Amino acid sequence: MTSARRLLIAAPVIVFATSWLWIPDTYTDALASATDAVTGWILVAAGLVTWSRRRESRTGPWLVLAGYLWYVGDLYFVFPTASIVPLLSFGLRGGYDILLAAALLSFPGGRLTSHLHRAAVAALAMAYAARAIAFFAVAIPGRWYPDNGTPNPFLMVHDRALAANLVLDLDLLKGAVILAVGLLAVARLRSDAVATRRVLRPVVAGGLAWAVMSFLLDFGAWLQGNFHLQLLPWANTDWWPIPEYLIRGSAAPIGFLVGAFMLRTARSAVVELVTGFEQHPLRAQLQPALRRALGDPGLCVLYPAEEGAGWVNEAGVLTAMPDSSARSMSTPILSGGRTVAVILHDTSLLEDPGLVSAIAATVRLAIDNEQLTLALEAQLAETRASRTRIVDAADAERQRIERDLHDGAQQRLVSLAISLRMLGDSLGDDASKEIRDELSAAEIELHGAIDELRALAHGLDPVILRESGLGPAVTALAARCPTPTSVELNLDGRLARLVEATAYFVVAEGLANVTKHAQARHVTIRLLAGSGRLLVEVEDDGRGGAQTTHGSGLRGLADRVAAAGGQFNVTSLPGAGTRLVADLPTAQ
Amino acid sequence: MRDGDPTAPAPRAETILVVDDHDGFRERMRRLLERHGYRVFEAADGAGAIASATRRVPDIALLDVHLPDMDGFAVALGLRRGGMLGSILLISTHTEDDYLERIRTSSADGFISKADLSIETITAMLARS
Repeated sequence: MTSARRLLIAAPVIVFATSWLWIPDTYTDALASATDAVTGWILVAAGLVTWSRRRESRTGPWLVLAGYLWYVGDLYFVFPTASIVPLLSFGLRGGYDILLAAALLSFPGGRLTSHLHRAAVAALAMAYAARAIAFFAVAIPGRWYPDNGTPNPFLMVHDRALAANLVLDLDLLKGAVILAVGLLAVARLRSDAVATRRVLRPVVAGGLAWAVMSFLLDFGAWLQGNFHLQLLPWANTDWWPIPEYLIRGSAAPIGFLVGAFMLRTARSAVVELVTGFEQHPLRAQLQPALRRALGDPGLCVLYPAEEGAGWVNEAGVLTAMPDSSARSMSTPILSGGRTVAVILHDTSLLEDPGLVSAIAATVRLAIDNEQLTLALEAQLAETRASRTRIVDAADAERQRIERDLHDGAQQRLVSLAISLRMLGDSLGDDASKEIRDELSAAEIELHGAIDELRALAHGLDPVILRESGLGPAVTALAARCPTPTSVELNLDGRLARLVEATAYFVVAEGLANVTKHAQARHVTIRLLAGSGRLLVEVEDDGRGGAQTTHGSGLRGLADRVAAAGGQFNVTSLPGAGTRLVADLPTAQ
Repeated sequence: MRDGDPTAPAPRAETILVVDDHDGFRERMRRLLERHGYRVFEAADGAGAIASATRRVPDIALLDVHLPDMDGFAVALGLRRGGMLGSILLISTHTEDDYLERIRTSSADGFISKADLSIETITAMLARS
């Protein structure tokens, strides 16, 4: 039922109460009048709030109906001259007590689960009915209720003493049953589940006040043998009607209203649950978040063990599944047709099936999300490992090519150079100038080839990096750079091969870019190691505007740095120089 | 021989140990050095070099840095420990810059890039050592 329809149902009583407040001279005490009117409102409000938070529960409609019945006793004041209205108003007043009792023993679920509770409510209904019948049978106009000229059509007993005793006895019986209902409500506090107790406290407090006051008033009247006399010594003072009204009439509705506001809606519980997660909702956070969201400190979440039967907690420890009891039960969480978790929770959760569904859906999402996150992290880890393996394989291949060049072509060319030199020595002055010139040109050409081959091999796998480490290798790079270059080093010994190679190639590529594109006047290289990181910076004062798009050398550097588990950043605004920064983890 | 004409034969036959794993290179070095009056004996790896020097201590050793079993720096140390007092020169297809720090702290007396190897560079380096 929508909120609008519920409000529509409640509207007449609100209109009635409001209008009757403004009827002049019908109720001499304005404060008592206001208290009386507001009590009905509170009952209706408590009913509407409960209705909206526990749609399936009957407590909400009961409380709204109780609000209507509250005003039965006031009908006389509104329609004092209308036929038998005063008789009905006085005879049927107090019917809301039955609904209050039912609500008190069933809040918030709306079901009277205990035989004792059902018996108490039934006894109260019967006492009420008996009292009403007795009243109609004995009530003499002008004595039992205001006379408007209409006789009591149901009047059968004319013995005044017998009539008074009968009604007072039934009133006492009704008061006693109400007191019993109040005590049963207190007992609920002791026996009901933890999460229910929280919302029950204000309801039971108000209900107990209502029950005790009802009993005292009826007992006092019975003791004195007079409706208008009361047991309490201050009952006839001017101020007493207000607290009497408040306790007898308003305490229980106020308790219901407070309890209704304390009821969690499925939405608010889910919001609390979701906001209880920090970042990714992982298993370790699920149980405490659920406990907070549902107000159930004993709640447990168990997961099916991966191997074979059994259950594990969030830490993966094998845990026995506790037996369901009167206070706790288990709700399986299904995903894709299989049980992914079981929530052991307070039975009171079942009083709101919507809440159970919402929580189950949220938990299922959290578990699915965690599994997806774990799968994604595993894939990411595999991708990182794969990228590192690719870089390692590429490095190994570069080393192999460098070694092949060194052992093969370079050695042959060096041997050839020695042979040419020996040939020149052998020829001596006997050879013609033409031959000596040709020989000399061949030697020069050969040395050029050797140098180029060496540079190529050096670019593939710098020996100085392998032999002497990152500091000397970068210093040598800086020394060969045509642009004036300063080097700031803060290194402590050798680093892992992958880290040194990555840092070296960042500097080498950076300096190559400076030489080719930057038109810089100065370059600064910084290598700072510490706290498990190596910071590599190449900064120039050139024209900036470096391209980092796919396919550029910088893109390749970024990939290489990422493969080493680091981060790469390029700042290169036009006219403001270029700054390459690689942040590498050194603990490999 | 290191005084006067650098290309002139040595006044007395100095022994020189050439250590390199490339046969062609060793052969050419042997011919070059013998042409200039040195008595040459060879080794193809580090262990062979140290064993050879134990039997006959050379006056000079030319050690390739990159050897199959150990590098030239380790061989130089082994030769020194074996009692060799003469000059030890490291040779490599790489440049001196590549080994800068290790050369400085090694037992060798100098370094010559193979691309620059000639009787002139050898005698010049020997004169410096």
